[in-house]
Amino acid sequence: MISRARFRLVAWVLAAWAALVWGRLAQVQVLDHQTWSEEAIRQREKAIEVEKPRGEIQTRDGRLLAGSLERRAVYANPRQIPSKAWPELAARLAPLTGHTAADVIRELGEHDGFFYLAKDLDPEVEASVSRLRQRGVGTIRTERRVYPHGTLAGPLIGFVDGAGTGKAGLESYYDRTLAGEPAVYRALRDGKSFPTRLDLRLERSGRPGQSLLLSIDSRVQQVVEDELARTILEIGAESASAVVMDAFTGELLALASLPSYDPARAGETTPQQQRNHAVQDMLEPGSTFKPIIVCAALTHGVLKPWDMVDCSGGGIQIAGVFMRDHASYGALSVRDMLAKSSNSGTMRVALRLSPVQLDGFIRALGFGRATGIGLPGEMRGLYQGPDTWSALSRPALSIGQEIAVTPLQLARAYAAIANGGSLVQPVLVLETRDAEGRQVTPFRPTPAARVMPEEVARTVASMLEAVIDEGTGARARLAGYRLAGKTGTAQKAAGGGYKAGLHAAWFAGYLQLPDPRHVIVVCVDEPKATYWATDVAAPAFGRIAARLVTLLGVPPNKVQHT
Amino acid sequence: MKVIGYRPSNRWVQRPLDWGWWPWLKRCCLGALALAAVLGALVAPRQTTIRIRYQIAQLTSEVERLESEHRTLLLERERLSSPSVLAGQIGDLGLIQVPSGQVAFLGSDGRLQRSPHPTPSPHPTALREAR
Repeated sequence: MISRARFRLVAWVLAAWAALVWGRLAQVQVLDHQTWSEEAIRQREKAIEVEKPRGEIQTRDGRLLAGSLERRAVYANPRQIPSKAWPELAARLAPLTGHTAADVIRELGEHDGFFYLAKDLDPEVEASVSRLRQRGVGTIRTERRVYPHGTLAGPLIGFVDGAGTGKAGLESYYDRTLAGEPAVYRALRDGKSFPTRLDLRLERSGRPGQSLLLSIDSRVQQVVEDELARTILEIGAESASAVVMDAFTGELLALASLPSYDPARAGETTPQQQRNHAVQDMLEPGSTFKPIIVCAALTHGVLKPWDMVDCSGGGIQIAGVFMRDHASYGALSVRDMLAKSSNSGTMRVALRLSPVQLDGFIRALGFGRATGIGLPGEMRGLYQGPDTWSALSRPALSIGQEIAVTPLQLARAYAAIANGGSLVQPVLVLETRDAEGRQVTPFRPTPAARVMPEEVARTVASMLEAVIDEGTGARARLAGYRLAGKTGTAQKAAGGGYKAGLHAAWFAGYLQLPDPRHVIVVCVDEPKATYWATDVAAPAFGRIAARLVTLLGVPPNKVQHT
Repeated sequence: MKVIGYRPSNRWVQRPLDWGWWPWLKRCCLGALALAAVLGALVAPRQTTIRIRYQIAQLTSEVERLESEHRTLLLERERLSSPSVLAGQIGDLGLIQVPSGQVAFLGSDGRLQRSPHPTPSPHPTALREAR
């Protein structure tokens, strides 16, 4: 007979055990419910990520500059494949991957874990590989970025790396916009842990990348690149860049930089080729800065359009330094001073402005800060305020020294002269669109800031016509058209001085008077055969203008006397 | 006495058939029917959902394949019509390069106009000293 004490002991032990079991049960089922529930789902389900295509880059005239092709990569993980199955598997994989069976076996032997057996294959390979039903072998959706127009606008578009991430140009700056979000599906696993198509659930729909609609016109871009290439071919130069901008909206019709490259072959290029010289080169603007000084002087009332300016002496003496001019002209009108690009005259005009006035005007035109166009590595230029100026700074600035600008900054400043005195924001992306072509983010123009009175801008704009008709820009002349602009030949600055024999040739202008709309800036860096802008940049401007008037439908309006 | 035959009547040794299984069978069948009805009511809609999901997955993948094909064709068209590619194929296409001076275009007034070309300066070198 069991004693009462023993019975109680056994009962208590059993009760304690039962309490333990129930306690653990409560912990698993109630307290840790979420964790174990997720673990159970993880074991019986598999999340499948399906990448969505990267967005396209289109021009305003509907040409595709960049798009993506769907491809497949075949992977293998030798750890999950029994070695006795290798020969048969290799024989079946070889025709799918373009290797020989021996190569596949060798690759399996050389790798210890996951590796890509083949990349950039047609999507049809996915079905063939899944039919193998071999653990450790599968396909992954990949993309190949395609640039159908080759080198056209290469430095502007940029490129993507092997993982499809933007690394330069628009591809880099708008990477998050262009990249899609992958869709996530949940599928039940079968006995071998393979995902099945049974009970396939869409967990997250994902979205394809948005497309960019650029303000660039592919025809204008092509024309500009053709003419820059011709200039480099005829004259020889390190690089050349050009900007074509709508003076009223700030929309860029072309942003060309040569040497260019095919983004699909970015790996074979040099950093010099990848550089977008239109926004990443800072060069002294030389005489193209003279109209800016005249605008500043007219705005502040220290110069009148009808004034005669002393352009004599072959230079001027300032603070014990004689600043040379290329010629001695005597007294010239402001118009003729610009046409003949007189250094001494412009320096005297600059000296009429106070440092604060000159500094304020230069800053108001956007020099010394990036335009914010939306390209990686955009330079803000080099410009220091009056605190660091010497007695020579104002005369130096008047001839485009002690300041370095990008071609885009100069185009923006000339747009202000062309449009009647308003500083516009350069625009490169008009809108972003979703995969169905619906507008997602429209371009919202920022209000233009008035930087000079309209009559000042109109006066200077018309004065620059003389540069082409009678002055240094004669080789930019176009029969029947009233073009205006300014040449600029600048020595290249380096190490606190100027490098002998190295120049930059500029031409900044617009077509056509009396209501100019399109600003064109050409910059040729380190021209070889000749370095004067008159012979290098002005002819390039003229050729570009000649082709653009046809393309943009600008009718001639100049009466020709024969 | 001729005994024609004798068949002893042994019916008494025959045991009557056990029909006790019949109600069990009926109960099983009824149970199976009830189970089928329950499953039909509960699982069939679920199966329909699964089948529709499967079809959706198939159609989605087909749509994606066609979209991908569409993108491929667009890019190919773009490549083939690229001015730089066409310029390289002028000879193959049986065309000749026309100098820009011989090109005319239709103006907004409907008249055919010559493409303008830059006028070279009469004395380009005279201005070289000018900056």
